[in-house]
Amino acid sequence: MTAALIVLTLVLAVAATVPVVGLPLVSRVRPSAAVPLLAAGSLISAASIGLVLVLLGLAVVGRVPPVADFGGWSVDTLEVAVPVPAVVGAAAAALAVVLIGRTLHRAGRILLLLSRADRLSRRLRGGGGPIVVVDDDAADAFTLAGVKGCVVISRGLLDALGPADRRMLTGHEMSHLRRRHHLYVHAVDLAVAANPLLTRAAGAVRLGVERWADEDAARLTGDRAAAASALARTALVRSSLRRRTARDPHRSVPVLGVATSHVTDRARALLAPAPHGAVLTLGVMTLLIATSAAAVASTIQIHQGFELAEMTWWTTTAGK
Amino acid sequence: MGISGRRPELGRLESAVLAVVAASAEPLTVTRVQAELPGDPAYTTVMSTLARLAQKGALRRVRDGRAYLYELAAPAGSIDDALTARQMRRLLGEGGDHAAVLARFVAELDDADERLLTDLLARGGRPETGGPE
Repeated sequence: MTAALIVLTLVLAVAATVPVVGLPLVSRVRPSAAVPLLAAGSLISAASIGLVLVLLGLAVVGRVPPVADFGGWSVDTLEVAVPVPAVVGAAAAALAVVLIGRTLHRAGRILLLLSRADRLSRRLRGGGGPIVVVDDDAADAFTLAGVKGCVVISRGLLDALGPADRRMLTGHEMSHLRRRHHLYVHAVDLAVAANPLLTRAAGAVRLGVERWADEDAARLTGDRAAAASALARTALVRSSLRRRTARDPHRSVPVLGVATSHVTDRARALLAPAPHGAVLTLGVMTLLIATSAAAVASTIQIHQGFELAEMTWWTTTAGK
Repeated sequence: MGISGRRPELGRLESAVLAVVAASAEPLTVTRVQAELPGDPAYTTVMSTLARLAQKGALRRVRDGRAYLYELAAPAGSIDDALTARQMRRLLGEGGDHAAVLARFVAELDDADERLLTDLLARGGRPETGGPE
């Protein structure tokens, strides 16, 4: 019980920390460290809360006589060994069912989108390489995920940019593709489905992968300040091209809310000295290790309660 | 899938080379690619990377006198660009659920963003001093 309470507290602490720490983490820590940390952290925190809710639920559901008979444990001993109030356990069970349902639904959506993107990118690539330039006037550049993903750049955008800016653009998109950034986005989305308190982490990870690709592209061009200018110019060029082709309503659909509205932040981050932020990273890691340790402790505690109840059941039935 | 097998599709140098060639408006020589790459890779390394990418179908090799030039290979077969564009937009616009497609390089800017970026460029990309932070 105590371990379960600690897990709940820690998970709430993580959830409370994410809005405060998430964005500074991706801007002040090297994105190649911050993004995996945030994604893994969200998954750990979501898995911990899920585990604890399931356990608390089981402790109460296990008291229902037919369930106890089926499982072969003593109801009385279980109540004493795992003293979860019935209301709390029932609420935990209900919440667990809802959250697991959400998670499965999200996982299904991710698989569907991935397979669709994979099919599309295979067709776009034909037999060729991962960079595809399409004859389209709309100014667009993005990375399609998939087992065989690809980078799609419109002729319209490419023609409007100078050589240095083009290099920043291709370097950025190749970084997304090569490092499979979409997997971090999927991971955090799954974690948010399992634990809605983490919603803000999804935005931070999306911004984080953009920052990561920016830093990779800056390394390719060799100059972070120049990369910042290239980013700013590309944003302005795209914006003005877009206004010209804005009649199609589908083209004005914003893609990834947070990441896209942070172009200025991304440019500023490139102008600032290259990030480190070791203290922040260590702090977050400590919190995560504590959460998972408490989740494991809570599992052991409740499991021991069940074992005790099983032993009592065996001795009483053997005595009959 | 043939040659790519189960290994990661592109190595670090391969993707850097590909990014450089894709960013160029005209076909590039090995020397040009080598000059544009960070960290001074050896000429022979760049040459074999380019050859490998050409073999994989990512680049096309064209002969120019005695040297080879490299450019991005156009996708094989003719894609119906209008259809593809429509499909891409559907995928991008899908009910707020765009995990499968990463963010566009940059997207909508509001007026404030535009002013800030213009300002940033006007200062020649120097870090601001005494800003709001």
